[in-house]
Amino acid sequence: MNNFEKLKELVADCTAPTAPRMYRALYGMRDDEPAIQLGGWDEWRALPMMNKNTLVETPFADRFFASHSDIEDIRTSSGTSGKKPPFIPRVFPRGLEYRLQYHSFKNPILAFKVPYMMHWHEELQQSLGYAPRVVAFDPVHAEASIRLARIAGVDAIITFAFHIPLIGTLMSREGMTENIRLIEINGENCTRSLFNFMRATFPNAVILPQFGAAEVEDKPLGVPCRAITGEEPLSVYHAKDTQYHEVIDSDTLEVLPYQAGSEGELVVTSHVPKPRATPLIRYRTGDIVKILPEKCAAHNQLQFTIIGRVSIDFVKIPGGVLRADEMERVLLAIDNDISDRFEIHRYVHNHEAGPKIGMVVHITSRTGRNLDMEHIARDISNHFRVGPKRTYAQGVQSGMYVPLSCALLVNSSHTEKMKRIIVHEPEKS
Amino acid sequence: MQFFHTFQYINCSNNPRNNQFALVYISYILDIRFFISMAVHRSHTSTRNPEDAYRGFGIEPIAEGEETSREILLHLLQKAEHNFKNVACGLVPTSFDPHDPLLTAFPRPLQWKWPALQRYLQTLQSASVMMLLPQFWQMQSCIHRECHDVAALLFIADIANTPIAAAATESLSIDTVITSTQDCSELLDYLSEKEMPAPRSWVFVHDANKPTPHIPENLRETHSVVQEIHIFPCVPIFEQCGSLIQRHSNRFHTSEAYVWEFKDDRTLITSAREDPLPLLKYRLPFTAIQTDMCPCGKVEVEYHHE
Repeated sequence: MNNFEKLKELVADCTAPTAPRMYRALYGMRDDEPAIQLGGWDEWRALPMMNKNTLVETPFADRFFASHSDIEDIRTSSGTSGKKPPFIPRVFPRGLEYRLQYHSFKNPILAFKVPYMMHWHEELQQSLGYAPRVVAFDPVHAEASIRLARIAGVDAIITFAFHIPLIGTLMSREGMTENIRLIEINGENCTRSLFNFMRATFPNAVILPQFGAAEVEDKPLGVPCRAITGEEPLSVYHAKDTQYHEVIDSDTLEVLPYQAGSEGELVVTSHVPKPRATPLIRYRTGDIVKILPEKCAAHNQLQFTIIGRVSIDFVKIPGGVLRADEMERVLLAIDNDISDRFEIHRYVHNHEAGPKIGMVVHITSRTGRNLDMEHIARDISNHFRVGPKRTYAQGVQSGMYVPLSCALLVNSSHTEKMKRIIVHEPEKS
Repeated sequence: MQFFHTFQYINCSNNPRNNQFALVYISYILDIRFFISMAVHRSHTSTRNPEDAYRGFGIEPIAEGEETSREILLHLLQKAEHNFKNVACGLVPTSFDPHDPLLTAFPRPLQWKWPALQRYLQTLQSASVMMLLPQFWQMQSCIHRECHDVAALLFIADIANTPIAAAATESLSIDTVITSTQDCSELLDYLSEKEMPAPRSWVFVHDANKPTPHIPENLRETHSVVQEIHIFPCVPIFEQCGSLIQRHSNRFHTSEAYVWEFKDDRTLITSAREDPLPLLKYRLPFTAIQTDMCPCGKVEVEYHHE
């Protein structure tokens, strides 16, 4: 079955009169309308796209396409937008066989609950004929987790990228870094700084990127074409067999040719066979990708790399999240003369114990007066929450972050679209 | 325990001599039956003697008949650490406290089952469950297995993210929370502050080393509460039946995974099933006493720390 036929079947299934309401509502269908039968690619492109807001605003029951007995996991996004977070039910993951070329999974695994539940790792090990042994990584109680990992004899780490510096530091103390043979990281693009840290700390590990999103049940969003070896771009992917990828101009929503050189927002449709709890049709990921000139040598498919986000209102950091709306709240509370036009610049600083996050907040006065940047930086740091129980200042105190500073916002034109969080990939020394 | 049950049952004859004979006879039978049941239990569940199990971890068991203190057990486990990778077993921490300087690992059977939890979920008619426990306790997998077996949804919440946990109670219609009194207090306060209803059923995992637990004030009377006592996370020793749950009792029934010895000043347990590293006359950190007969047919047990 070719791509179009799979998409046609998916759309028909998701818009059937008996299907949960999400797509019928999204497409403005009347109650008495039958399922949509796509006639061609033009009709496909005419289907409205969806994004995270669609999921947030759709009641759970209206976007739940499987039965309870099929549900293996319920994920949620970080809930950083200030809105109620969507809870995404998931069935068992498929299409992960590519990982076996990099690791045997014979020995115990240290894993965070994201992107895969503990029992999925166990089931994988069992399916390969190995004892199912997984140690859950607890970032809140990391030291205890790593001690258990050492005792278990783990040789693989599967977790968020921003957990790695902490895990690396603790594993170094336990004398176990050379035993690690696989590191699978997800949650954000691997930076050069993080790669250098992993290479130095875990000399024998294959480093594999994992590209996914909390809202997308059919993980991963892209199959890595190769391990991260230091060759640029560090992380390279191709589309998974059960997905159809499009690239769009995020401002005009124009669909761009999916060919070498195209650059735009990745839109994903998953046509994975049933059961599927949260099928996504033309889902805007918010990730900006670039299609590379060369095809993937191993799979003869177009490769892409992630070059940024459409607009960032939050960015994950170790121990929490930098949120633009939180900064807005804090600035208003500190001094209502500080404009709500600001930029948070996130940097990565190289340290012996691994990369550390740093933040420079660019601000300006509403009335044009001079602002005491040092004083304001201290106030922001003390009040800016990165998590329910942690302020930025507390993160600095515990050695997680570099002290915050403020600078004058240069571009404060009200006619230009403002990016509130800017992530700087090259390291600031 | 079995003698106690049967003595009550038979003491109804009008002929004291018959009663005495009957009592002796039944006691004798019970003695034999008890030891036969132990032997059968062991033969079904234990295919090797404890010494072999200990030597598999590179350690020697304590001498037969000797009691195992917590200190001795931790010492043995620390000696065994480098052999865990050679034994097909899971592991759990030996402390609920992540900062315990003596924290090491206790081996558990692979894909260990928690039958009491499954029973609770069935009794409580749980359809949507939230786990709100520290992840280093290593309870995720076994909780998932039991929820899966009763077709209940499971959401693993972060104990550090109360707003998400609270949102889940509403969005996912969470009806049952598996938690500890420490981890649930923030959630309960948050729900109260936001005027959101608390889920109807709560399963509490308590640390045996801590004083006798209590049910949070705002859950008494109006919510179903189950309490279990674990010596380590995933090592339950006391559980509750439907009757104890209904009465919001602070009494328990003993886990059938162990053979119990109730002494005047101490309580000992010995693994009755094939544990990777069986507990041998392990001295619990409290003294337990058997009290009344529960309507379920088991004896109720109370415990207190010295």
